[in-house]
Amino acid sequence: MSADDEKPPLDAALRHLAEQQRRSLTSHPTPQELAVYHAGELPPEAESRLLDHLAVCRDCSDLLLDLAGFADLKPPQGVPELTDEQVEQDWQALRSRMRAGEGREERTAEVVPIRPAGPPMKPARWTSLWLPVAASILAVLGFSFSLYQTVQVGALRQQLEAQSKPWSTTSVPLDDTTHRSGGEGTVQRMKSVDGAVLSLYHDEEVYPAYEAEIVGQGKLKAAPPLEDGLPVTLVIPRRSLGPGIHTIRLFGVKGDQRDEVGEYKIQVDEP
Amino acid sequence: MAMTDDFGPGDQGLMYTPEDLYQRYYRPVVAFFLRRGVPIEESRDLAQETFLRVFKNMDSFRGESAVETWLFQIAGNLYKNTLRSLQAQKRDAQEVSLESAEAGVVELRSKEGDALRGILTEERSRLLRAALEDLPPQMRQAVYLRVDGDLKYREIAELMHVSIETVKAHLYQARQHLRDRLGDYFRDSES
Repeated sequence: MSADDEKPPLDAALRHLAEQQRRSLTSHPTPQELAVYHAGELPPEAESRLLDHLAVCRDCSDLLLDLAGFADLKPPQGVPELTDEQVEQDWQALRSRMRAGEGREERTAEVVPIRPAGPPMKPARWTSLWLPVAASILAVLGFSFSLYQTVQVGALRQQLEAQSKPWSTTSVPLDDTTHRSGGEGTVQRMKSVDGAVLSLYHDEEVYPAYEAEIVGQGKLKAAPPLEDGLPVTLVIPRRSLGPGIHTIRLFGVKGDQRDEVGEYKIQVDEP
Repeated sequence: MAMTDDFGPGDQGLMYTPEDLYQRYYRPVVAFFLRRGVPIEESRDLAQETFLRVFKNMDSFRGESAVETWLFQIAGNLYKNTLRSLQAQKRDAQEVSLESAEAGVVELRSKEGDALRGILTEERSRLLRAALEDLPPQMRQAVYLRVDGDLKYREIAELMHVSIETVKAHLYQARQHLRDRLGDYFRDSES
């Protein structure tokens, strides 16, 4: 036996050390934290701490790798993909659960809609919106403070106020408008590289079909509410909008009839 | 997935209704749970629950997130909650057998460790830890991901937000450093 054979292999020793560190881990990042890290939006110190964790935690690094390739995730080796019949069967089951209103009781606060521009809202309803709005703002402020330290709120707010007149009747700070807010003409914010799912509420009757016009860009179909009280859903495709504030006009479509039911604004950040 | 006619070229014309969203992402969401070791029927249940929450909570969607990121967060939370509740059930119902099961897992995982224990003296462990501490954080992280996580260069680059070339450079330099510092105490696995 040579002297070298008596030495332990370095890689095995490293794995042993990593195993010891893994056993001492007391907590793991949440999916939200992983998503923020994935977007490159963690402050450097937090990013380094998270990477230290990922280095020895295979579960979390696997989770993050799955996020990176989410759209194309495949089952593990040896497990077959779902058949079209199974997918359809699950869709029908899901629709039944939606129709039965399942999950509704989990809501703890009133849904706070983005309101379209238009006639002034009734005072009673306006007032009733503010409590959940304030709660949302506080929650988002806390979250934003820890994650986004460099948002230039002042300049952006000025830009927003200048461009959104006459719709803007509230002055919700721009970094809060990523969440739901209750003022007319308030703006949801998205990154230019991302797609977005927008929930658009309006006060008119529910139409069987909807169409959205992004002014100066083009038109998209929007999905009608799955049931009364739920919003119209509009998906903005990835990388489809450039930076700036865009106006979205929503039309209800019934046969040949096409009625404008709301106008909304969306802020797209610089990449 | 429907294509509109006048929204612009390429990807820009894509849009989703809830059904489109489901058709596009249902299989990846089921795969997400399968890849975590969740059995197929439970994976389908959890995937349905994910979409149920998506459709019920459109109003709380943060518009800055990509659709995939949003789905990932909801699915990830469901998975973690399910894991916690399974662990709690096991603790409540089978405290004794769980302990023995856990002991079995630890035993399996540390099989290699046990084999090492005889030759990995306290002195060697201390030297190894010190040598790793001296590495710049990114280099150390790359070494762990490569050696312990058994990840490919591309995966490490993805996790660390750096290029594959940077990963290779980190690993090369780290191995040189460790070889210089620990050559008298450890056998380089590459040699």
